[in-house]
Amino acid sequence: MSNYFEIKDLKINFETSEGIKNVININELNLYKGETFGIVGESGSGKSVLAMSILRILPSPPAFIKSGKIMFKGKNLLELKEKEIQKIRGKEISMIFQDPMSTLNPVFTVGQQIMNVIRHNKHLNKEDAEKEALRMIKLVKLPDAKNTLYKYPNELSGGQRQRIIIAIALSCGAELLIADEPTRNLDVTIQAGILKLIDELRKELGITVLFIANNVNLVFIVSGRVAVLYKGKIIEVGTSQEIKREPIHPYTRRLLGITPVDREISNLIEPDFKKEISLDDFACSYFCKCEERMEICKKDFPILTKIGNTHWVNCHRVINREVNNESASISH
Amino acid sequence: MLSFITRRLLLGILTIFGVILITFILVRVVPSDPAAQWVGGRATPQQVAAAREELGLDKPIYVQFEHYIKDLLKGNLGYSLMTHQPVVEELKKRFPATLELVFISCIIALLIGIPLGLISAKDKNSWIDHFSRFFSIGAISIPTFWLALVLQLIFFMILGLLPSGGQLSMKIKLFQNVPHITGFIFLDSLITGNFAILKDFLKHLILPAICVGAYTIGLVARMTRSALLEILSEDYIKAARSYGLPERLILYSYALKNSLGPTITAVTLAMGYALMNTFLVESVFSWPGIGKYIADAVVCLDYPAIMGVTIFAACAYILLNLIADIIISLDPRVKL
Amino acid sequence: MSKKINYYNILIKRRLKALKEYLYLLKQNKLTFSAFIIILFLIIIAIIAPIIVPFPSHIYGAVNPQDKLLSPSWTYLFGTDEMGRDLFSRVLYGTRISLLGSLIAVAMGLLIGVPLGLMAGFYGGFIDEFIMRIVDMFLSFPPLLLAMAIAAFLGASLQNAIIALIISWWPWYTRLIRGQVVSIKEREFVRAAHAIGTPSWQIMYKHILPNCISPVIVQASMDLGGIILTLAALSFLGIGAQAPIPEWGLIVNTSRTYFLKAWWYGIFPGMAIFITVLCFNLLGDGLREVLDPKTKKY
Repeated sequence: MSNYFEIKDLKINFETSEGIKNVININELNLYKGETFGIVGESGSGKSVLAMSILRILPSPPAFIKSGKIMFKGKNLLELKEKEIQKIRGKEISMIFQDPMSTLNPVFTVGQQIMNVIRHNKHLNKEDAEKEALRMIKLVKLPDAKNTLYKYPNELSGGQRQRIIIAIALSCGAELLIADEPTRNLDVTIQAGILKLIDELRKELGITVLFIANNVNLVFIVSGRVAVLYKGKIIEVGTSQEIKREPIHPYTRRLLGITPVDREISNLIEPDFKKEISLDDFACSYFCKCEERMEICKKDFPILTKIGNTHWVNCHRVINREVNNESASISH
Repeated sequence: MLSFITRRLLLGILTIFGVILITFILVRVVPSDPAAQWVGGRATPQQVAAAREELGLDKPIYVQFEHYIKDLLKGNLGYSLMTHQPVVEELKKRFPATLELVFISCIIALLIGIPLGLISAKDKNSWIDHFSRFFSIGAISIPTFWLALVLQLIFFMILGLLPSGGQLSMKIKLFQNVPHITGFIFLDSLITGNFAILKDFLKHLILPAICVGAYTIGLVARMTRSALLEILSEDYIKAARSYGLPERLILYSYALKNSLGPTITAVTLAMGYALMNTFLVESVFSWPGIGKYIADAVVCLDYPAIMGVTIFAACAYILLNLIADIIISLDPRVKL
Repeated sequence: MSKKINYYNILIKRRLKALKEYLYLLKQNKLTFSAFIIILFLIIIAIIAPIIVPFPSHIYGAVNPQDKLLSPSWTYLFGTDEMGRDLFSRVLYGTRISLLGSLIAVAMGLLIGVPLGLMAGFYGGFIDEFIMRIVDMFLSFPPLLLAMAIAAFLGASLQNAIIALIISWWPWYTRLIRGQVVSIKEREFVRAAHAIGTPSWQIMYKHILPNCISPVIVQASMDLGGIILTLAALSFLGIGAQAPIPEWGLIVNTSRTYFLKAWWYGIFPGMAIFITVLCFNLLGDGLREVLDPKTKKY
């Protein structure tokens, strides 16, 4: 089952004016069929890069996939030729984006956009494509499907647009949906509707959802399992209950708003312009902001260590603890 | 939609009025005396005074302006000091040649420039992109009049392949009956099936067309490239790729439809520049159009002619822009 | 007091760092960089022209009839014209005229156009309408036409041609800046400055202007080339520089009569125009790649 979707040793670099920056460095990430898997991270952690790399729509300069594998149903997506990955896009793996207005082409009607995709991917003629389009619009619970077909994107509201985008993404039978911050640009009240829709569709169509966001609470509510992404590395992975109940990594604790009360808040190291300290000088990428850092964190890379059935953490405190045979839970 | 057109039309008329005002002011700045110009060098003061009265130059300014406007509305642009013929007649006589030249040059420029910009944007940073960018910048840097001389030097004097000027060679003009249906030699010879004339005409057309079109090719290629690059970086293109649509479909169907606005703008600008280039090129190639007319006029200080061509060209340009704006407003994004 | 000095220190250091980065990016594009070097070279030539010119008397008036219309040789690198004047000297000196003329035209165009555009965009309302209507009137002429008409009516001379160009060019800058100002005006930091009571002119020049200067810089550097071209065109038509000024376009025009006998006469000045304008355009294009946030790579 864990061979459904697997990322292994993925390293992605970016060419910037300041040299080559490593943006993604993920050892292992698995998805199970039919689950909702959440990835949470702050802006700049590499979430969108990760999402786009799966479908290989990363702009290739400046991004370069240095090494790694993305296995989907036994095939390595990174090794496929352009024609082969095109067969996967839309039909097996689909993506929805953050801004519903800019994701839709403003000079075509919504109906034309859905039908274009359906006609091209499923090779249907015009009438059948129209029927399919209507079916999808109804599936995403938009009223007055027939008239919606003829509307331009600027005539719809944000929530309606996002539903159309979900319709387009799922119109050709995709079984893995990558949702890159789908509700970020929507009002809170509309957000709930979209999230509910995605979940219902997941159950109805039996699809797997990879949900990416920077709103921590949202991700934990929506997903079954969660991975925390910091500067391109996965620092904690587990079920949402596990992590919520017992977040181990200091960054996760920060994200969830839990800070240890009885520890002194030592000086955070800020990047210093005078001495030109770069944040990449330390082994653990979270070193500078970590309140629980130790000497070993400077030099040794921490590795993803299993501490529960499904709970993995990337932090020296855990490894230390294991070595010293302390108890599994940390007392606050 | 209709209200947009009317609004735009009114704005156009207002602009034309502004143009007329500006040209009128220009004439009043003239240091030399148009009346003296009119009667020639060796006129007596009485003759000059008589001419002044005849030309209405002794009346106050606002009266002159009133006369000017009235004349314009009647279609009277004054008399050309060079030829002593009505300026309107001169324009009517010469305009078809220039229009033909501009039109054909622009079509060629678009046929070369737009695909060049397209390929450039599609394969950004490839060798063909670098080549076409350098070529485009070269095309807009080359002095048109110098290019005309260089081409004439190479193809006429050194290689002897092409004629040095004129629209048709003497042989044809003397011995053949040049058809005169539309006034455009290209169309006329095509319609009547007279391919000898057509071939001769094309041989005469090619060098002026290259000179007039050189700048526009560069301009159109650059504008197409930048417009397309901007579109291709938009989110909806990224999304279309993620749905599995092939690059060819994305480029020619999605991206192109979005580039209607910038393309129309590029075409309009191209025609404007092409018209200006004819002013520089026509005299070198003895092409009998309004370009040569105004080039001669500025040297002889034939002010009515200069004014006439200026107003005419400006109005044509304003009309072109108006049509372009209306076409662009068909874009569903434009909120009227 | 020491805090203030520290602040300015860091500011200067950051500005220098930004400048270094721009130069680094500029260097990356070899074509742009070579164009930049050639322009520097041309500027140096223009400045030291009086010193290095081989036949200083030939520039303007001196007549040398026995050497007329000689083809290029080691003495006369570009050959001679119909009055026996060394064309190399004349073309060399023409660099000064073209570069200086276009610099003046662009600078004056900016001086008139930018403040007007700032005012139009900032104050809006009637001032905006008024200024932009005038701008529209000027811009509704096809390029070059207005300059031609103005130069023709003012009387043919180099100065009048430059004046004509200034009058034709300033509206472009006004329109460009106004568009930028209108979009920047709504941003938070402008409202904040307003709320603290910063005087309008300070908001315009210290807050808004620096943010919209990039497209103007790009446009101006390309215009330096474009104006040289237009100035040469006006002189070619006979309504710009008059003899005996060694303006490039004028030399090309004079060469037409002797075209059949002396091919070199018109070729070299035209080549000079081409190379100069090409370099300015390449520079402007390269600057656009560097300064335009839209084409920036991440």
